[in-house]
Amino acid sequence: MERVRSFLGESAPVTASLGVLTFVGAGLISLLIPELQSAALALVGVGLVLLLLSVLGALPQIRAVLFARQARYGTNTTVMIVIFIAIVVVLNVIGARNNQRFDLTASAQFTLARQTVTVLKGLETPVKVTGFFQQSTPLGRASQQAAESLLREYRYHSDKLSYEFVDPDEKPAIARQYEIRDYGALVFESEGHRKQLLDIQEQAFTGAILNITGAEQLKVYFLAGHGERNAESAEDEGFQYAKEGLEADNYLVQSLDLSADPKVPEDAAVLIVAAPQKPLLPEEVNGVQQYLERGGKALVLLEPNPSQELGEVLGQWGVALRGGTVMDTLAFAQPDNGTPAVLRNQYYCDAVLCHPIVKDLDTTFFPGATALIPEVKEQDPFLVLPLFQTTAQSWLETDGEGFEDGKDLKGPLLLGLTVEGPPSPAPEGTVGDGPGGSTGNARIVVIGDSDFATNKFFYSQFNSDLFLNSVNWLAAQEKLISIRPKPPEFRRLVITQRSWAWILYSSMVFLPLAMLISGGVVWWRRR
Amino acid sequence: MRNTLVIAAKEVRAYVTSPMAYVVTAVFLAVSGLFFADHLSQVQQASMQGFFSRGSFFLLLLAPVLTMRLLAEEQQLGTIELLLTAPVRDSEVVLGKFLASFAIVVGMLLLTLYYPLMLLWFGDPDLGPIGTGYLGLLLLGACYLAVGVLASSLTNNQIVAAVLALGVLILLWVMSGAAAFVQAVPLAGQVLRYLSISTHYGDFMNGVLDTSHVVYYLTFLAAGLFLAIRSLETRRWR
Repeated sequence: MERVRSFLGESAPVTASLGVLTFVGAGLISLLIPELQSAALALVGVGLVLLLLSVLGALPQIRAVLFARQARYGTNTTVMIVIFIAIVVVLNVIGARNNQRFDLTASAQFTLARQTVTVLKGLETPVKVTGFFQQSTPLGRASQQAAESLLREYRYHSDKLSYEFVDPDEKPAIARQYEIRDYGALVFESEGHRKQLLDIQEQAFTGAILNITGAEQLKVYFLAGHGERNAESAEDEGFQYAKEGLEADNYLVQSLDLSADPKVPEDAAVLIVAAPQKPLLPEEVNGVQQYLERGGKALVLLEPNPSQELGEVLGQWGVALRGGTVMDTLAFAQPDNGTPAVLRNQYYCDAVLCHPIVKDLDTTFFPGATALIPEVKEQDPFLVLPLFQTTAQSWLETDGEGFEDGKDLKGPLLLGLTVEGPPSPAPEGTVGDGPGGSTGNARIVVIGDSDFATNKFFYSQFNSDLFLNSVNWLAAQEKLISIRPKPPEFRRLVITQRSWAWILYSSMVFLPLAMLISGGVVWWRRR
Repeated sequence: MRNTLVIAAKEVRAYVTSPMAYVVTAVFLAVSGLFFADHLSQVQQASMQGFFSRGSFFLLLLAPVLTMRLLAEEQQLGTIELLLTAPVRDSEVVLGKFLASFAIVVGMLLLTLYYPLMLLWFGDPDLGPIGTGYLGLLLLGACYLAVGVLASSLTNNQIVAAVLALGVLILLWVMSGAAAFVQAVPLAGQVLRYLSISTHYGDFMNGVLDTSHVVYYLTFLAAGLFLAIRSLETRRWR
């Protein structure tokens, strides 16, 4: 025992230095090679062990310092130190709880919209956000930093919100538990409700928070009674997967029979009309039309040769229909020309913007579709926007005899579009923005096919995303529409090669050189 | 108060007449220049992020070199007894020496103002984040120096002082990374993150001034200097 103690004592300076050097190494690794974080932390652990050994070895000296001859002075000092540390801790706790944040960026990037602040201040249940970002790629790290910046602002306004980050590569089990399929996913959860996002945007975050904090569980109604797609059916032609997809996005799915009561419920966030086969009764048509007129949202999925009433309703909203099946000889799901496919370049995107529904979509396909023909008259107060279309080598086949000029409509043909109506006045007696958007614009997404979302095809390619994105866009809270996404701060620096060289050399060489010369002069003068 | 300034002035003169401060500054400028220019070339934007994010850590590495001499040398040469018996308070000694090293760091940072000047010349940088970035660096630098002064007061060997300060600072810098490993203990992660000096710098780099970070840095600074004063005090009866 004595030998160990004296060995520890003698090696104390060495172990101390080694311990500190290990820390230095750990720090450098942590900074320069971020992928080796765990190695750096392991080194920190090793350093701690070494320091512990050196402390043990130098114990007698430390004791001499701490408990000096004048024990009175020693205790005095210790007490003072303890009190001081306690004051420091208290100050920090107070400071952390009562902090003020000032956003000094020119574009107020870190200031949240008033609506977001209201939502956050009104949070009653705890919300936890888990971000799944890859730590091993620069993109992953940068995305995590961006998400963290935004979440920090959110946290400032509500301490019910907490967040943490998990690297899906390091902890795949947790990623699986949260059903993460993409890097960069953020999961918002509160009291069992969950919502997953890929968007690091204030609008998306606040939307997710509203969505999961209970009261805002939105209801999606499937119109039923006319042979529409059945959301309870697990058959190939059923819509059970679509229903499950909606429930995963925290929607409540119900079926709606308008023949009993022709009024669409007030709490309907979205009405889905999935290819009715039998005609709708006039009261039902009226019910749907009124729902839309008071700011309702509908997803209408059609099939070739849709019914007349449906055509009339859509006609009132600027969309005309014609008999026939879409054939595309360039982009189609093999081997059937009657299953047009929509590839990335067939989505309507201009140089800057893409409609949120189709922004991240890749290939989708539509077995047996009809074309949509926008017919907006000048005085119509609504806006029809295309989403995606077939290629130029397509047409609307009417009689099965191939393309007949003059008879069959030639492509490119619209397969998907959106209609946005004007704001409608709030009905008397209502407060104005209940769920389901009983005020605000009517929104309709019309897609010329319903098979793409049946159980058989739902999880093929990006079909499920098209369906769910459409519902999500339709259900977007009116409160959130006004949160404009902030463009990233872009202070472009345009410099010529020569200016660039000047910047590089003057910063790296001239300035330091000037310093060294001054030092040299001083040294020379002292000799 | 006067004594503090006298000591500070004497120490600054010592810095300015020895080559050490110039070499440290030159090295800092060269490496910072690299960080600054490299980031510019990558993002093609008028941003100081390269300097702020990596220069802050680099300053951490250099600060112990600036402070190692301050108290350790006096202890080594034996002049510390003279200083401690003079009609000068321990706090004035510590504060004076700290202020001198801080003056050097302020000088170093003033020289780096060359970078935003160039950004203004060639482009249109957002000045808010640059302002808060520098404020953060000043606070961070002051904390580095406080740790350095403390380390220097604990030993008569300058190398030990430098290495000790370096080790403590690096530990404090990377501590937040360990938060992920202490999930089991509630609050431990948050505490570790809060204690780490690097955590509090992030907002300054983004252009956000949060008073809680300022409180942290100022109390950290006060604690470092307080402990250094206490350490000097123990010498009287050591």
